[in-house]
Amino acid sequence: MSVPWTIKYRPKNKSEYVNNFEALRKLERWLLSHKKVPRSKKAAFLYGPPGVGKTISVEVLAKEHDFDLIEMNASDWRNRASLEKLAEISSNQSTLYGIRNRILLLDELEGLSSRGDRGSIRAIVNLIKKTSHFLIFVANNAWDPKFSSFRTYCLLIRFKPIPTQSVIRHLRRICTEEEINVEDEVLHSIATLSKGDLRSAVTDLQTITQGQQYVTGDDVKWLTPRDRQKAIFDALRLIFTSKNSFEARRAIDMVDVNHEMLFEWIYENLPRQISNKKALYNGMEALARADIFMNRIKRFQNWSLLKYYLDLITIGVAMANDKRYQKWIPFKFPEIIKIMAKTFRQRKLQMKVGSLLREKCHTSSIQVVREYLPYLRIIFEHDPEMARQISIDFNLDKETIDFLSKN
Amino acid sequence: MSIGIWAEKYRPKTLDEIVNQREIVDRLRGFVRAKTMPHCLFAGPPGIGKTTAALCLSRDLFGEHFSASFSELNASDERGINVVREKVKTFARIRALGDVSFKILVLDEADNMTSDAQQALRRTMEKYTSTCRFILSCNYSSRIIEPIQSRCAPFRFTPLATADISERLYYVAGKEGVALTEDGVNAIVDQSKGDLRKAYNTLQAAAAISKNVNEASIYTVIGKVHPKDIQEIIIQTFQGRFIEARDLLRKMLIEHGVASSDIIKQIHSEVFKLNIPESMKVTLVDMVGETDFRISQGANDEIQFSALLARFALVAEKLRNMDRI
Repeated sequence: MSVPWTIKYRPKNKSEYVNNFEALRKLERWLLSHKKVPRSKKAAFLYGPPGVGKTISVEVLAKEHDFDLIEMNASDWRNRASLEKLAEISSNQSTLYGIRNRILLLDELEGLSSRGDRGSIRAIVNLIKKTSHFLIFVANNAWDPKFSSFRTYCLLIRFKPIPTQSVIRHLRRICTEEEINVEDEVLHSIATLSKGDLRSAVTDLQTITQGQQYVTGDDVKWLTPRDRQKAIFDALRLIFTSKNSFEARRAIDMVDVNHEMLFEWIYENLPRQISNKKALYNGMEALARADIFMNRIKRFQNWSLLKYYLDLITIGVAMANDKRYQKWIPFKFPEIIKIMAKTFRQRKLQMKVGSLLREKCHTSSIQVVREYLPYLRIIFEHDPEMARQISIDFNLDKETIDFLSKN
Repeated sequence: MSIGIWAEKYRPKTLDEIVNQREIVDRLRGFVRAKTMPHCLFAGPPGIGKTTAALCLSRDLFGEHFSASFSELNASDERGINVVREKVKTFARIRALGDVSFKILVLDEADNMTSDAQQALRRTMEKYTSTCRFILSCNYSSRIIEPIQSRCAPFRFTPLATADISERLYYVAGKEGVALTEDGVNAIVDQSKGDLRKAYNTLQAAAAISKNVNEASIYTVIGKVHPKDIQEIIIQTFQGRFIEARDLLRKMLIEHGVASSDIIKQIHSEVFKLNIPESMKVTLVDMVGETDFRISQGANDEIQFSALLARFALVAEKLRNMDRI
């Protein structure tokens, strides 16, 4: 398998479109009724949970009615300059093929941060006012306060979660096409767990059935119903299985944990998922390069470098592996979080020793921990007199002395 | 002053007591004679006398007014540039006593400051330059922004010579009533690699175990301070057990708080002990150097070490396929 099923089985026309027909019709009416006459609502705003066909509905209709479709993702238009450029394109009527209707699709609108991208919001309002084309926004939640300044200009179209039965039907159709035999029970579990997110259901199906002709109930047991965990698992699965940079990069938008937490998940699981040494090195090196970018971002507060960091942790890891991995290995929670929790008291005591000694030793707490602590332990273990002298010098309390004495 | 910790007890008090860094000490003596000095940047690895030189210079300059005219801040303990700025303000506002017209502020581990903080520091340095001179101390001058570097007189400190370290060790052993054998000294010198603080600490810990310090007792200390973990990590890696190696690495870095600079040094010397073709060692050392550089630039040590280990594992596999190990 080289193409992700989410792409391979993407609906190509209206008849393949799954569910949400009402929303599809509403969007179609808006596109057609305003083809020539001036429109009352300048833009359409498609909203609803992930994986229910918002972006696809636009693609399908654009094809059907011969519109030009210009698509932009959050990552493409995070800055004002690119939006203004878009406004420029959009005020220019003619296309390469002469006069033709054009749709500007701004996807993943949540990517805008309400604080950082104030200029972008203004640019969007500006774009709505200027454009002579069909402007369509896509986001999970239209009622987010950051959209309030332009929501009123938009025709709101709601997309609902796909009913379980429709998900199952779609999955079964894929199984038939792929000539694989999957128990009903499995399809049912996948569909239920997807909670109406058809894209994630298709991803799950592909991951579970990888390299297998028959899939039984046992294969689906690792699917956990916890939402957050599931989102991370979906993202990791994309990262470790994708052969396609577009798909891998999508992983970023699937999780609601911060980027560094996602990094920890990837870093923890990389050597568990990839055993081929060449691929392991490629993946680790991609993470190490990403880490260098993160360091630059933080040192120079240059957040425009973030895109390279995100590319490296997703696409960089996805492309590391040239062989498709065959068997399913469950994802593991980042060990580092557990270690940090487990060693909390110990590290706190270490830093206490550091803060007690640092001034008189003319150094920092962390240097005390590194340069003095190991030797102090030996002294406190073997020479009570020397230990007593040091305890007096530095006013060490009982807790600290006990900590230094026990090994 | 601490009399319990030897590294402190035997820290020189005046420039004349400093046994190494001769050119640097000469120039600092010049500052004392002229009763003036520029801002300074002291760069070099730990334990070779940067802080000591700053302390001695200040004591020689200020004499009895030392404690009122000298202050020390550690960039890695002070949260944020605002704290630093406030402290500098309070310190520099009151004029210096005595016949020296300025005070000295030592900013330790200045290379741990973000470049934004350094930019702010640069303005502070300019503002108070008539009443306060700064001595910035750092391991890597490359991490100090250009505008600050150009405002400071640079001093590059070098690791202590073997003879200097062994002379100091014999001196301290004599004072503390410790019988120190020649092979014991050699073991300490070998281990401390020019870092006098580490040499003192090793000697003191060995003396805590027994007043007769010899090669064996030094290796007991070294063994406790640097467990055989690095060797084990490399063995696991070479046998293709990357996950186990990474677990050990984490243990060292997080639970034992071992400095990444120590780990990199040890990996470097382990490479030459490996039973692999000589030409391969150069390749490995090259990678170790790259990792060292990345970490020195501020990258995360665990991630960078992991990438290095992954590379080792790849090399090991290639060698195994060629039946070379």
